[in-house]
Amino acid sequence: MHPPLQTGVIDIGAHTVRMDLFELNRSWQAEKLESLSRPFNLGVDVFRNGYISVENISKLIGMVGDFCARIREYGGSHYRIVATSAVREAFNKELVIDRFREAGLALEILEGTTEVTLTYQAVRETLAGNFNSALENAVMLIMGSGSLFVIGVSRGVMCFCQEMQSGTMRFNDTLASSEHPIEQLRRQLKSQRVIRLLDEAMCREENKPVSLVIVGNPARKLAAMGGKNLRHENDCAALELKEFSSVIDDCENLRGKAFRKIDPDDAVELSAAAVIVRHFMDSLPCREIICPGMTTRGAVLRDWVRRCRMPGVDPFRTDLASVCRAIGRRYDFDGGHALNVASASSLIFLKLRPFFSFPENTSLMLEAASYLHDIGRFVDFRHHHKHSWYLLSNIRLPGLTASEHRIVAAAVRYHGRTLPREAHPEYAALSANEKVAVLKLAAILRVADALDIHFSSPESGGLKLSLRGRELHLIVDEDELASMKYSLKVKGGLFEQVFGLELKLHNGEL
Amino acid sequence: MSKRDFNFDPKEFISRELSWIDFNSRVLDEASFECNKLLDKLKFISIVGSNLDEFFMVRIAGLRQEAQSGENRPDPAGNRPDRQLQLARVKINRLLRRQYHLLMDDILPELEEKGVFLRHPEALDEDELFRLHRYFRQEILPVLTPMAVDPAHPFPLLNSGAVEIALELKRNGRKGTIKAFVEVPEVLPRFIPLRSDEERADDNAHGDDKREFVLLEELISFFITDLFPGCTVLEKLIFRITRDMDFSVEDGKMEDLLATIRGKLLLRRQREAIRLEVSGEHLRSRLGRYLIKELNLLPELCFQLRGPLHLKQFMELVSVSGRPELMEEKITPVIPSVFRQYHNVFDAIKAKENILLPLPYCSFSSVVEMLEQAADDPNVLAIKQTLYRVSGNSPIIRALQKAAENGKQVTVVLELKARFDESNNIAWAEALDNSGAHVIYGIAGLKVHCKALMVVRREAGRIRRYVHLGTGNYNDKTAMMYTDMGLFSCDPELCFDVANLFNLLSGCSAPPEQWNMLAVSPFDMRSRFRELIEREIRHCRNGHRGRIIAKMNSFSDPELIHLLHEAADAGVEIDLIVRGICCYRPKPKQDNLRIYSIVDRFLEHTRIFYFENLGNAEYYLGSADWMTRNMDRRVELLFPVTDDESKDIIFKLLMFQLSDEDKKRKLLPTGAYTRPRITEYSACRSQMASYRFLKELHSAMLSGRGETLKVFASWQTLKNN
Repeated sequence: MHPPLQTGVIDIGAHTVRMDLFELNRSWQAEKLESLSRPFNLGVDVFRNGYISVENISKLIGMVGDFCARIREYGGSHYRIVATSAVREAFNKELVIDRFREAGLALEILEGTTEVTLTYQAVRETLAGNFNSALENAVMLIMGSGSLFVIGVSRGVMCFCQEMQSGTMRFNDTLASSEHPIEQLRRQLKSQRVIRLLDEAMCREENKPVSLVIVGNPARKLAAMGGKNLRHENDCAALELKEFSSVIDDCENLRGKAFRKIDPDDAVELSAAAVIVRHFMDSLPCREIICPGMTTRGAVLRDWVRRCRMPGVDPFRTDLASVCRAIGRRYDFDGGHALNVASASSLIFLKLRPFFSFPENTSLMLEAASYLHDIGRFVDFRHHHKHSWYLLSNIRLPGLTASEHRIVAAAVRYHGRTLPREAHPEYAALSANEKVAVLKLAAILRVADALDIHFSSPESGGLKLSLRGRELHLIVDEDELASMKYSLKVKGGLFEQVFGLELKLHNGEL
Repeated sequence: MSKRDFNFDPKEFISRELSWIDFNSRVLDEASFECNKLLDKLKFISIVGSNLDEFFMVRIAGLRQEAQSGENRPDPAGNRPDRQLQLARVKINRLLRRQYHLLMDDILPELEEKGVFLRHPEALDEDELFRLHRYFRQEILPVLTPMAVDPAHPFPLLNSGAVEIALELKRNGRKGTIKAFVEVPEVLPRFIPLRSDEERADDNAHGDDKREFVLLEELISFFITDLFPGCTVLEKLIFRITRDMDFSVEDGKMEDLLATIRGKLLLRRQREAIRLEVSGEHLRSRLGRYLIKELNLLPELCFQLRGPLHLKQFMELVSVSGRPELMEEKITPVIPSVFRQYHNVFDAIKAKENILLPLPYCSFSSVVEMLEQAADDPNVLAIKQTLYRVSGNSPIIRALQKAAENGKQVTVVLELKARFDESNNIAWAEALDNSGAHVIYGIAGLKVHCKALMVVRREAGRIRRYVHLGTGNYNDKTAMMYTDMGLFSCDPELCFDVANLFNLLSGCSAPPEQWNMLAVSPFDMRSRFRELIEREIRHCRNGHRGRIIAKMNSFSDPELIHLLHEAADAGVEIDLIVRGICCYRPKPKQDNLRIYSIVDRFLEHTRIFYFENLGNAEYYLGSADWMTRNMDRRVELLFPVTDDESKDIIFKLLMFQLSDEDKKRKLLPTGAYTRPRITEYSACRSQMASYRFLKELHSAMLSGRGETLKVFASWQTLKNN
């Protein structure tokens, strides 16, 4: 229980700055008190010029300051200011953060993967209940002005996530410069081959997506055109395929009665959104279209509430593992070995956590590193750790920030025998904190990789750990320890240096 | 926001300006009804005077501008501006003749019979003149500023609306004449009592309760030579000019609205004169002709009146005459039962969620109290309010100032552009600003006409918001004279919308994509009305009953008129209660559409909209009339009434109006209104029936639901009790 509190979430988007002001009651339920929005075309600056002009930074700060004043009117002092694709892609984003800091405002740039994770989780919570089956096998499109995220959900778990630089506002530009804009959009979407990748990840033959879940402001506008107005974050609408298809037709071609009322810029953007939805409707065997009312602000609030209520619990872990497995499959990984390494590293981490400091999300990072440490073998067995690093550096994993992603990639880079050195550019480029995290993660990953013990749960007797003084005893239920001891001797050195613990391998009870 | 394209059929419309003059003719009827008390009649004379001033300043000025600009576009009724001016002048002349006939031949003589005299200085005896002369020298003379016209002094900038005296003088011992002007100062009382209070008290003791007054301009005119020693007055003329006040603030000048409006007000005296009124038979005199020439006036807009000018100020005589028995008895507004049960306004609203406040039958004090309690309540965090026209010494402003001084976040959206109240509002804006309130001067290009008040309060750590939405201004004075309706509510959905409305008004936010409960012009109110009317049309076309009752001040929006014609043709049962301008021309023999106008002691100001919706009736209240300006150029509010009790009350009050036989006038296809012929009021007078009903109802509510139901049942028909 906590006292009721008023909090605001400010979302700086590509063409609008929005704030939702919530009150959280004693049982953490949120009631929206106010909803503000101010059009502000940051996207024009960023998507065309690559940066946010000084004048616009000042205007933005003024606008956000006004919003914060609203929060204070309600006696609230908590707020989160998040920026999405427009600020994220500006090359002067650090300057923007600094200017906000000087104005006494804490700006947080939501990375694409974070944005998608938060939205995905919030939508999943919203759909629980009336639309329980909607996310069993589904494709979710998170549509923004600057970006489009495509998520594949198989058996209720995320298995695919890809960002396309195809936000509706970018399409707006394409439409303006093209003679046959609609056709060009379609070609552009096809060229990104996202449907094939989705197929692979979802093993389409077995798990055909049955629902197309469309999320985001353009999606809500499309739903409204179809007569489904989503007023609240918790609202959700199932759209009749046939009827919605005609709405999409109208929107694609900018025709129909409703278009007379719409501002021309909005209409073009809506048309772009319709082209995207049509592309996925036609390419996937979806039987229903679901549109939840969830917004970035709602998703950020839910995440904040979740962290307050259940610190240390990450509900995204299963999804991340699933996405990693799908990526692993793409690179022909040894699924059994990856699972064993993931289980062992998790066990070691849990044992060490009370005694050593670890960065937030270590559990997720270890999981990802464990599943993907060997994907470089797909390229070449000999230097597979380097290839794994390279491949990982070019994949975006949902649920991890860019820094966490760098840590995972570097930990994978050092899961073999090589020790990190400043001479390695990929290591030298990391910050001090990231380097420490890489050392800790790599140390654990090496030990787990050396053990490669199959077990389904820590209680199954596969691996037991005991920390006695400066020694970590690894008790395995194996008769043949020689090869394991050798691997451990080769790969365990880093662990002993990082944690100051000597590794002792035992067969059976101590 | 967008209007549907359609072709106007002039036969569907009545000219707006002519309809407005007809409304004033109905007001003037009140001054002729035997059943009205004498001073009430005088009040109606004065109201017509005031309305005519505004009509000239804005509408006639606008028509003249249009006619002169050569645009000459016809109005929906098919009349071009010059034709409208011509028709208006004929009607205005008729109206003025009737107004002065009633005043000079009926009301003033009757007042004399009751002991209230308006005396001319020439008719006074020496002793009376001596006393008046002393008063003139002591009290009036120091305030007067004579303005001579000679080669060194050009024709002066005369104030619009002020009574002036023009003079032709001859300086003794010099050749030639000069012209001079003296403005009758508005800071002095218009009606100068012949005897002081002490003298009158003495006379009263001797059974003489006579009250005699001299008009200020006549007194000044009589002693005018005191102002011009060494001059002989050759000719005198009492006159009044009206200037074109149809100015607007262009969008480009919105950066500093306060400064812009202040500048516009300063330029008022320089605006074009459009009307000249002359008292007596002097229009063709030398001075009359001189004025017409110098002020560049159209002869058809110069009026020679057979009595005193500036009849708006005769309202003053109503109060100084000291004859309350010559006025209809005042009503004591009812305190709604729930406010009697709960000491704290917020507790009361919380207990009922929605409380309807029909004015002036119920007391406006609940609104003032809400603000006063909020100002002192440590749990109140913020107060937000829109203000359009505020009374002098307004308790609303005082409470807002106090709240700001007590550290509450006070946001006031004050509409500086409220016509004729601009200077008042500037003064209020500065006073509020000085007390620490955040004053916002409206939205660029739009007038903020909606009436909304929101209080944000922290209760047990949680935020709860209370709103009051109304059909009339937050003005404690007009709240006793106008019929309006307010709704107190703490419905979270409604409060959410109102919070968003204030964010919109303060420029903090764009309008939301969708409102939960409100319809707000110029965004979606037009389309909401269109949907509601079209739904009733659909019901009718599907073989069901369609029913609309709409009550408003004016109805002139061409699109809605066209739509209502469509609804009437489809068979929807429509009752419109339109107090003032109504441009809808009913079709002959179309019995399913009826348009009424009610003019009575209280100015009908409520905007109520009822849509039967196949038995699931929807009730809306709002600040907007069905006029194009309200739909497209103002920020207006339409809010639903959702609780059954309030709906029942509204329905009952509407029924009273529809069955009012004393004051209801029906609009005929010719554009004329029927005239009630009554010599005595009956139980069918809706305003008084409404008051009696609400009084009984709130008294019964204290006794429980059973009693309340009994009151509703007993008022099935209007009754004499």
